[in-house]
Amino acid sequence: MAKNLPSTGIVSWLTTVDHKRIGILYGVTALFFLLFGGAEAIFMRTQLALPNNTFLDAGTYNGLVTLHGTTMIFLFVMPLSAAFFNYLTPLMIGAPDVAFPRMNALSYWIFLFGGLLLNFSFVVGLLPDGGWFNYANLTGPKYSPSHAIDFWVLGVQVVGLASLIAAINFFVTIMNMRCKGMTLLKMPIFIWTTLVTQVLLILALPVITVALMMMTFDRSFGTGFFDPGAGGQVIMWQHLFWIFGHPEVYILILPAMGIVSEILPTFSRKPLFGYSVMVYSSCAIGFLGFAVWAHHMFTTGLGPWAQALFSAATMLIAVPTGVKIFNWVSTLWGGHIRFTTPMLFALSFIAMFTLGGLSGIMHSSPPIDYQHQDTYFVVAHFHYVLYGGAVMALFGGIFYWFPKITGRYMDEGMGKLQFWMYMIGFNLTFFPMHFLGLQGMPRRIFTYASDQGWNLWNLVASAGAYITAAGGVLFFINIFYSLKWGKKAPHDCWDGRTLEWTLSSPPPEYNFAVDPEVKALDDWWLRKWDKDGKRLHPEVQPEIDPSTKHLPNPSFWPMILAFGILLLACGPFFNAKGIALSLVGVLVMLIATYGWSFEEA
Amino acid sequence: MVKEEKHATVKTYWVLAVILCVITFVEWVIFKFEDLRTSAAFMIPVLSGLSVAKFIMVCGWYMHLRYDHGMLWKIFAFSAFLATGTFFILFLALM
Amino acid sequence: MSGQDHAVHETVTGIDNRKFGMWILIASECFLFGTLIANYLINKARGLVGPTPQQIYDIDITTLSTFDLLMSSVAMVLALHGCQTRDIKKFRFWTGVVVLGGLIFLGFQYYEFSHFLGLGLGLTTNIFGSSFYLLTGCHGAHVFFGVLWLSSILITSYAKGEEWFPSMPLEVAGLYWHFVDVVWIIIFTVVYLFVFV
Repeated sequence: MAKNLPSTGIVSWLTTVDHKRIGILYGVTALFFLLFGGAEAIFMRTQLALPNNTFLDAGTYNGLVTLHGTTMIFLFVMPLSAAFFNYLTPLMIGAPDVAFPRMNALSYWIFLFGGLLLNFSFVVGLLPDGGWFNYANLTGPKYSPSHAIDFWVLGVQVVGLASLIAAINFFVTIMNMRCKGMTLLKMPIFIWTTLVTQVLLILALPVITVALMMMTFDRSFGTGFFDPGAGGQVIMWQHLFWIFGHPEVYILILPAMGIVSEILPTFSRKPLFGYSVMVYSSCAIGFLGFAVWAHHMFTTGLGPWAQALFSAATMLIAVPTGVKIFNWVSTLWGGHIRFTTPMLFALSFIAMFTLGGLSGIMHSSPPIDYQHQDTYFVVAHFHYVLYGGAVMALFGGIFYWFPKITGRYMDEGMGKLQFWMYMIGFNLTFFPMHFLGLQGMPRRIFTYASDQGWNLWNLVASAGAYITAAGGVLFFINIFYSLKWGKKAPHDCWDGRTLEWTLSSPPPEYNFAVDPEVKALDDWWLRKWDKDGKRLHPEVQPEIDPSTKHLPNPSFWPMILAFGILLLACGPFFNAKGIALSLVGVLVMLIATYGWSFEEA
Repeated sequence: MVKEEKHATVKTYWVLAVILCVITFVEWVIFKFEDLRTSAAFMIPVLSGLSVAKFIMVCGWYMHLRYDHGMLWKIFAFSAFLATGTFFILFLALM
Repeated sequence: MSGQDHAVHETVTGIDNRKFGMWILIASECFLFGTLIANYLINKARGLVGPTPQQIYDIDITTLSTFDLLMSSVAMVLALHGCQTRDIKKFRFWTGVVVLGGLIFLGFQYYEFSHFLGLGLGLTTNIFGSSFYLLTGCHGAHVFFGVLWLSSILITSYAKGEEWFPSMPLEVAGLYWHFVDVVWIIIFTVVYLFVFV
């Protein structure tokens, strides 16, 4: 049955198990949700541009700020990173596909349905409004009786499952499917950061899974996990959320660091400085990330021992992070720099992430954090690391790998203009927030009085947001323009160092005609340039008859199984009748599992 | 094909099964003594030790970790260790 | 993981992809059950009304169910051995014993839950009850899923005939089953045996 599915058209996309197509699906969907997250931001900044503004009421503002954070993290940065994991991992390790192609498709469909579930809150006018971290017990049944919060709880639960399934897949793929000669310390650095990210996902997601179950039970079944009246503890939510939440921020930044670590060497014509140190730093960051979570809770009355120990661990984790910054700068030093658009984004990452790291290290000290907590100073910090950091790197990645994926370069003129609009807009918006925070402006307020001294910087911040938005529009224009009229790209678009540049642009469906064999890190580069800088001419992958390569069959079952999971997650919205809906979901899941198990892969 | 040099025998499986039963029986018997079951100083080390023994037997032989690639037991041990450590820190923070 | 036994392509580590994947899932579940167990330990003495663990646990029944699950693990390795040695009778018999063992365990759980309910401990009675039911309920759900999985293999065996020996899928199912047993070993000790500690 599976073999008779078409290979072109919509159905081919719905049933694809090809990691490259799944990567494109993730990327397109992430950019779609970026529009939501960006619109939410623009509305918020419009409201905050002036004191006592009446553009949005408090309730709507609370919903938008919650959805903005949740969307940007779970529906934009993580899936866009996943787009790169998907597209690049098999190519960079010289493999024909991932270890579990159908499970790969399953992850995507679960993510899409989860994202749609979360945003369905707009359709019914019940925006979750408890903040992106949904603290108990504001978000419990007593103070949030409507189903608004359930959209957040169940939406995040579903997208979390997508990431967990994908993480298992990528971990096994990277460990088990590297081409001949590619030992762990000869893998591209992006693969290393991907690997550490998957480990973090695998170990941290279950904690929030349990926390979300507990919250669902409190809200729908009358338990009191977070209700002191029942013997529960409000603070328990914060602990469990942040035990996940801290590794989560490394999940957000590590892929971006990997992308930057690939782009900088290419456009400096120099190898990454200190590759093995970068590897160990990534592992150290991942490991230590489990020991610092309570630095998000310094103002909750943890007690002096806890404060001191978490503070020390937080300061410690700055070390491997700082090491990476030195290594990136050292990579550039003495290099032959080409200022292409991806390079501009990668360079801005170094500067912006460093600024974000500096504000971060400030609030690693509890006494200082007592001033920063819940003010705009924190908003400034995390936007510098997440936007100035992760998002800029991801855009750099898009410009860098777009020609490989589509066969056409993105337009450099539009790209550079967008870059500058982003840099100016971003810094105009978020740099003044350091001041606003120190001047006492709290987070998550929908308006402010005109005599607080906050008027000027809020106006500036909002102006910056509009510049960014315009840059965003330009980005989408560039995408559409380049797809149609972009300059055609050869195999080796940028004179790169890793194996994806040995393939045509776009690559054949089967990836490698001849299984690659590597002898060193940056093997492709070493085959092109000898020690004296003389150009050699190694062969790129040959063209072959595609029918000689066995590819896994497409399948409907992943999408159907994902739909069953969605139905299961929708049960709690319908109170008593919901159990029936969830059971129908379980039944669909069972049918899909059997169909999947018995079809020919 | 997966190379298997050494492998547990059926006899080993049955021997371990008997040991697992005996340990479980001993745990049940210990619990019958009120002085023992209320003593943290006795229960925690002794019964943890017994359950660790069961854990090692099931993981090492039934789950084949003794004979498998070293990476598998290391991944498992790392995860179990990190989970224990994280939640131990949580207990301390909640005290 | 299809019903067929794929030819094993060479993997870098020599570990089959599906087996490796199951071990990674097990690693993840260390954190899932770690959170549930930690939450139970934090909350076991925090109930404000209703029965306490000391009043309600029945160590005899629980020991029997522990014994049952352990024996089902024995049956699991014997089923796998039967499959690997292409002994259709042993493969089918011992897989059936695992399924039976799982069903008996679920039966014990059903009995225990009904018994507790009768004694006044429901899901929402107090935080101890909520934490207990969440932990053992999740574990029970895992057992139930394992029973479904192994029953499916058994039924498929009858459908596919006496030449079908899915050694790797059965090994993978076995790893899952043993892990569920190992989690119970921990729960038995930490929840039940330590109730007076």
